[in-house]
Amino acid sequence: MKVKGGICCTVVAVALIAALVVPGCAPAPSPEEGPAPPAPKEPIKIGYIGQVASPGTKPPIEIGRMAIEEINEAGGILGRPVEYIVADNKGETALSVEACTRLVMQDKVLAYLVEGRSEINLAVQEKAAALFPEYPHIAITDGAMDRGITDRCIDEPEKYKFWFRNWDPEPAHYCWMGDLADFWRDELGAKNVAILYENLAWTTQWREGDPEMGLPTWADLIEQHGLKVVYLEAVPPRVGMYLPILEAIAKADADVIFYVSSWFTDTEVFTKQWAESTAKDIQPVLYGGVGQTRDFWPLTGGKCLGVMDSAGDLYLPVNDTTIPFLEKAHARDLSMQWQPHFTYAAIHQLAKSIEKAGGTDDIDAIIKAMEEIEIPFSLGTFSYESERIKPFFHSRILCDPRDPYKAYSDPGFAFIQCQFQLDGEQVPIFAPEWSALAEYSAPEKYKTPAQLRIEAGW
Amino acid sequence: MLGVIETTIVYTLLMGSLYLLVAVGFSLICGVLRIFHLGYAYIFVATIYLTWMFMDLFGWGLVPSIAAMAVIQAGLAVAIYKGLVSRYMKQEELIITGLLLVAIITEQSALRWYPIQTGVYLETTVIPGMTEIGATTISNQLLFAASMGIVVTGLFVLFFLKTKTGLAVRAISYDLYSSRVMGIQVERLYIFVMILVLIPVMIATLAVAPVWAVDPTMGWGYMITAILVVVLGGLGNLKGTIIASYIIGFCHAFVSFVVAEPRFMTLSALVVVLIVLIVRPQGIAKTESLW
Repeated sequence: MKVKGGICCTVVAVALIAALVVPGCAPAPSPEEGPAPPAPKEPIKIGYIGQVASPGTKPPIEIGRMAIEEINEAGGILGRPVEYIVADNKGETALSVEACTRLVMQDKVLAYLVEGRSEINLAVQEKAAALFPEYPHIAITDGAMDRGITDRCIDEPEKYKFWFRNWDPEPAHYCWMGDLADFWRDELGAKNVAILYENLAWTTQWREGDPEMGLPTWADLIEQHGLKVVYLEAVPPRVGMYLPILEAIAKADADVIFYVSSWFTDTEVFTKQWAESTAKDIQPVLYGGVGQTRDFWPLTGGKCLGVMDSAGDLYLPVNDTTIPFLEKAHARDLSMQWQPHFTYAAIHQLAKSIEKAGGTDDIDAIIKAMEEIEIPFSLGTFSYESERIKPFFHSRILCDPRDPYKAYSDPGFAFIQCQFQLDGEQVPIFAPEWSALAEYSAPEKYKTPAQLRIEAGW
Repeated sequence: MLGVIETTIVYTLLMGSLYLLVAVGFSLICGVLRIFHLGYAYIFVATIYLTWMFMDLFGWGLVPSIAAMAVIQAGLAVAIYKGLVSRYMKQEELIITGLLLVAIITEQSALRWYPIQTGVYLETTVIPGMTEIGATTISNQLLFAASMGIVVTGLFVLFFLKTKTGLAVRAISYDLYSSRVMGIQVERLYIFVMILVLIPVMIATLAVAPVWAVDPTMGWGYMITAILVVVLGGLGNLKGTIIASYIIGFCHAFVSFVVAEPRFMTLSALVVVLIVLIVRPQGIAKTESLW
C-alpha cells in the first residue's frame, strides 16, 4: 500500500509540474492568436526634495503629484510611466543634500525639484554638480530667488548646465516694484512708506542693491518714485513680536507698511498684531506667502481685513488653463500661492522637453529642449531664459534680461495686487499694464483698513 | 525721550507679565518635582489644538471646547506623571527624553491633523479694542493677558503662603524626605502640581492666541522663554521667576524702543541671562525652594 501511495503522489506531482511548465513552452502565438504583451517600460523618475509637513512646501509637493498623475493618465512620457518620489528634508539643509544623493544615486531619478529656500538650493547644487558627471540628471529650483543659484550656470556652464530655476532671480522683481510704488503714491495717496524685510538670503539684493547691475536698493527705488521711506528694518524670521516695530512705524507716520516676507507664521502674526496696534490704520502690503491665498482669512481670524498682497487663488482666467487648474487644486484642498503654479508648469514643461529630446538618454538634448520650449500655464506662459545673461539664464522668463525694469507683456505674467475685504473676499485692486490680468485692475475698489472695519461693524 | 521711557516702562510691565504667565508653571515643576520639564511645550500646543478639535469635530462652542480641553489636559498630565515621571523618578535622563517625546508627538499630531493651512484660529478675545497709556496704544487683549499674569501669579503666591496644601507643596520643595516623614502625601501633591501648572499655561495660550502665532510648532518658542526666565530667576523659585520675568521684559522693551533694534530682543535676553549666570550661577533666587 505504501509503495502504491508513493507512486500515486509521484504521478500527481509530475502532472502538476507538467501543467505548470508545458504552457510556458508553447510556441509563439500565430498572428491569428494576437501579439505577446509588450514588456513594461521602465518608468521615468522625478523627485521632489522638500519639507512634507510645511504648509509652504506641501502644496508644491502635492501639485507636483497632481501633474505627474495627469501625465500618466495621458499615457506617460513617450509611453513610459512617470514615478514621483518625494524626499522629506524636514526643512534641513544637510538632509536636503542627503536626499539629493539618495534620489540621484539610489533611486536614479532623471530630474528633481528642490524646495524654495535659497540656502538649501545652494547646498544641494554643490552636491548635485559633483554627482552629475556620473549620474546625468536635471535639477529645478522650485521657487528660491538667490541670484547665485543661476549665476553659476554661466560662471561654470559645464558644471551647472543641468540646473534650472522655475522662478525669478531677485533682480527680476525690479520690473514691478516701480509700478507698486506708483500705485501707492497715486491711488492710495501715500507719501511715506515703512519697509520690513525678512532677514534671509532672498531679500539681500533688495536690501543692499546690486552695483554690478546698476540696481538700487528698494528703499532708494521707492524714493525715486516720489515716496519717502520713513522706517526700514530687517526682521529675522519667527521673531514673534512685532508690536514695538508697529509702534515705531506708527510714530514715523507711515502710510504704507511694505512687509517683504513669505514666512507663513510671520505674516500671520504680523497681521494679527497689526490689527491690534497703533498702526492698524496704516495700509499693510505683504509680499507673497500665505497672504496670497484665501486661507489667510481664517488663519488670521479675519484680522487681515484690509491687507494687500498678490494672489494665486483667484478665479481670474489668465488663459484656458487657469480655472481648470485651480479647480483641480482646490478639489485637493490645496491653497494656491504662486509657487505651486510654477511647480506644475515646470513638471509639464520637463515632460514636453523629454518628448522633444526623444527620450532620457541624452541629457544635453533634454537641457536644450528645456531652454527652448514654452508652454501656457495658469499664470501666463512658462519658459526658461536661454540668453546667457546673469542671473536670468535658466530662470523662468519674467522680464527683459538686459533691462530688469521691463517686464514682458503680451502675454505678461499674471501679477495683480488684491485686498482682503469683507468676508475674506480677495478683491483685485491693481495690476500693471503689462500684466496678463491688467483688465481686472480696479483701483476704485480700494478701501482703507479703517473704512473696511467700519463696514464690518468692528 | 519721555515718550520712549514711557513706552519702555509700559512694555516692560506688559511683556514681563506675559512671560510670568508662561514661565510660572515651568518654575513650579522645577521647584517641586525637581525635573527640567523639556516637554513643557506640549501644553501650549495641546491647549489650542484640543480646543479646536472639539469645535471642528463636534461643532461645540468655544467655552465647552475649552472646558473639554482642560479635562483632557488634566488627564494627560496625570497619565504623564504616572506613566513616566513617577516610574523613572530616579532616572532623570529617561524622564527628560520621555517628556521631550511627548512634546514632539503632540506637535507632529497637530501638524498631521491640523496643518497651518487649516486656518486654526480661536476667537478668545475677551476685551476688544485698544487703550492709550501715555504715548502708547496697547491692545486690550494683551492688557487682559498681562493682568491675568499678575492675578494668577498672585493667587499662586497666596496659595503657597496661606493654605495648608500650599504649605505642604513648599515643604516638598524644601525637603522631600522630611516631608514624607511628616506624612505629607507626596505622590498626590505631585499629581496636583502637574495639573496646577496647566492653569497659567492654558490662560496664557488662550489669551494671546488672537495676537500671536498659532501653529503646531508654537510651543517651543514659549518654552524657550520659560527656560530663560526660570534659569535666570533660579530654578524652581517663584520669587526669582517673578523678578526674572520683568528683567527679561525690560530687556526686550529696552532693545525695542531705546536701542530701537527689535531684532535683537532674543539675543539681548540671552546675553543678560549669561552674564547673570556667570556672576551668580544659581540665578537671582537665594534658595532652591519654591519661595
